[in-house]
Amino acid sequence: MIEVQNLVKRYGDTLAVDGVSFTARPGAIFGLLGPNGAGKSTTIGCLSGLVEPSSGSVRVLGHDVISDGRAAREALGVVPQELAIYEDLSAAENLEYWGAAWGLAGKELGARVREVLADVGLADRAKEPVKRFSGGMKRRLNFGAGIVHRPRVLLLDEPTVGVDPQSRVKLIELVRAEARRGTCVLYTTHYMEEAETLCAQLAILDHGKVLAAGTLEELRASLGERDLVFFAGRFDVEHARAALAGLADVEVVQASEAELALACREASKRLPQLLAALASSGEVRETTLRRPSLESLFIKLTGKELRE
Amino acid sequence: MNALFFATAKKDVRERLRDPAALALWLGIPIVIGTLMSLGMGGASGPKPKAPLYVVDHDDSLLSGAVAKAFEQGPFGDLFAVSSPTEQEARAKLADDDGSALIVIPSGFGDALLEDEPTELVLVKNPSQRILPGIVEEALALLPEFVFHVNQLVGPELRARFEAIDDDGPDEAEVVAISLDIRREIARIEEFVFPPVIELSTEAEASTSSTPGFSFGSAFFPSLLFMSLIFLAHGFAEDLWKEKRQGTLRRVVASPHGLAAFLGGKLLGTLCVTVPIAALGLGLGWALFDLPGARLGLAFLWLVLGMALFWCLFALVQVTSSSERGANVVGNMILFPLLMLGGTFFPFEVMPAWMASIGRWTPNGWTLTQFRAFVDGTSSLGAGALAFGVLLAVLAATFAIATHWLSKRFVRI
Repeated sequence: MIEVQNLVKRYGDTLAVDGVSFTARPGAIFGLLGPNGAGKSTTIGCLSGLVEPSSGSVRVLGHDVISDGRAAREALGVVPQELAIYEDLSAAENLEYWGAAWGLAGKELGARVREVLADVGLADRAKEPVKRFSGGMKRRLNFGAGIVHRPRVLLLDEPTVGVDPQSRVKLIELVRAEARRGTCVLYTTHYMEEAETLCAQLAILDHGKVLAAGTLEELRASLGERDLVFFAGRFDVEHARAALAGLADVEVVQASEAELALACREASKRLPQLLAALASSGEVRETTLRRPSLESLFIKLTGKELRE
Repeated sequence: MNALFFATAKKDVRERLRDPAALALWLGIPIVIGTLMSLGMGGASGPKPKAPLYVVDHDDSLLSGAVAKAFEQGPFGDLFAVSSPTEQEARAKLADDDGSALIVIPSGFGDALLEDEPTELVLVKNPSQRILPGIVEEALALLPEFVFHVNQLVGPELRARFEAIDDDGPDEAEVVAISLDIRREIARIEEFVFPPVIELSTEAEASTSSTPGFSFGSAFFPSLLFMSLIFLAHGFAEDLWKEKRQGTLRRVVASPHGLAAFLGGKLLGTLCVTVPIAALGLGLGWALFDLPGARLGLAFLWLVLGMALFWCLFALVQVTSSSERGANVVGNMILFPLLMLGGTFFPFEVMPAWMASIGRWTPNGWTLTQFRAFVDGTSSLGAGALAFGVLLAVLAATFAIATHWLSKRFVRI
């Protein structure tokens, strides 16, 4: 279990993490969702001991990561966003090293290395230097290095960034398998679909703050099952707001001279009505309709699309 | 010790052995530099540094003057700057580490030589130098043999000539007459004497080079050995930035055993690679270059601990630098002056006194001086134990400081 209470991390005047709290439970995947710079990696850094929190409490399996760091880290497995493997060593030697670093030895280590190599699909390339691997293979090995010692708490910091579709599917399967095994998984991503597919519970972060948290169903419910409609073109913003204000159950969530974003129920059926209302407010060149999703929730919460 | 410590050492050894080109480069650079330095020092062009040699002549005779002059001519002249202060002044200078040796020629020295009677030369050596005082000692050791042969060949003629000289010393005519006498006697015996004398002289040179005082082994080989180890230590310590760059250090931070175990493992890995190199180097020095082997085991242990100290010092440079490039620049800015000052490029004996006295207190200068003392057996038990104690204390302190910087700053920048 991971328990984070009022976590704050300052870098000088910059507040990277601002009072973040959440609890992640064993056997489930907890998603930290947010754009780059939202504070996800800093939160992971505080959990892994790389970053010292300015204030707040971070506990792993009941052990405080500062005052009882060693016990907390014994339970941890970490898969950092950037690769953290030795390119001059083979895949097997990498796993052997990281397994030994967490205390595995002898036959147990050898057996576990073979098992993980098979799991990440690198058994046939086990003795090859990693520098010859493709990006996807390195990502899978990077993941394997984080789970070789069978951690009870697994921290995954955007593990699928820059990964080919085939390797992404494989990695997501592996994450699910870890959760099924009873591992408490903390998964950060800025891919909405991944979070929707994987995570039982989520927290949406931006600018170091938790904007919303709960199960996927709870978060969807907070959006009110409304669709998001985007109009791109050229608009008189004030005139458009006034025109749309007369329509029932339509909310303007974002408005600029180039784009309008509206939230409303059954938007596909009401498109003619919306277009008619905007006819005297500017020119609509493109219309996009999105079903309720984490992304639409994020746009509703932040007033902007998820930044890459 | 914990799992991370040994795992890191094993991993580092594997990585080193996968990159033999880098190892060869680090070992090759000192050999190339050493060769170039030797050529440069032995070349005909350019000024060469000379070591002060003091001769105090209480006899003030023609023969005592000849002894003093001998050190100003030929190959000795390339090494020594001979001067004649008072004995008190000369001893004071040696005590201040200014100069290589003092030769005191006693009163009656010339007469004793001519009469083939016992006499005594006093040689005072600078205890902090070895090579140049050794050369003076060897040269003086040949003097009795030379005098014996001269006495056998032309002794009576020389005695007659010297007896004819009045108290004011020889005039020009007498010097010419003595020269002609000597030339005539040489011409008379050269058919019988010179071939064997020339061969004898050659043998004397060979035997001189095998003495521990100033052989290549004791003079230059330890410096080359230390230069290789310092280059290796510098190169291996740079690995810390590689760990950081490739993200592996971040993962290590999340492991339960701590960064001291990681740093210790890297030190152990470095020693695992360098210990065989040091052993091979010492063996080669002993077998091929006359490296004296009085306490080779102690010298080997000293070399290994010295290597550990050099690695920790360069690791400290790495972890206190804010960028990889900065670490590289600072590392080189420290490395080369240390090599220059610390007796690794140039022996202390040919340095100006002030520079040598600084150089002996640099980490490599101090370890090199102690190493030589272990090799030739001049280090007493107490002095050796003290040196080991100091080295271990400095090593532990440097390691602790490097670990502190690694965990508090380096992993977080």
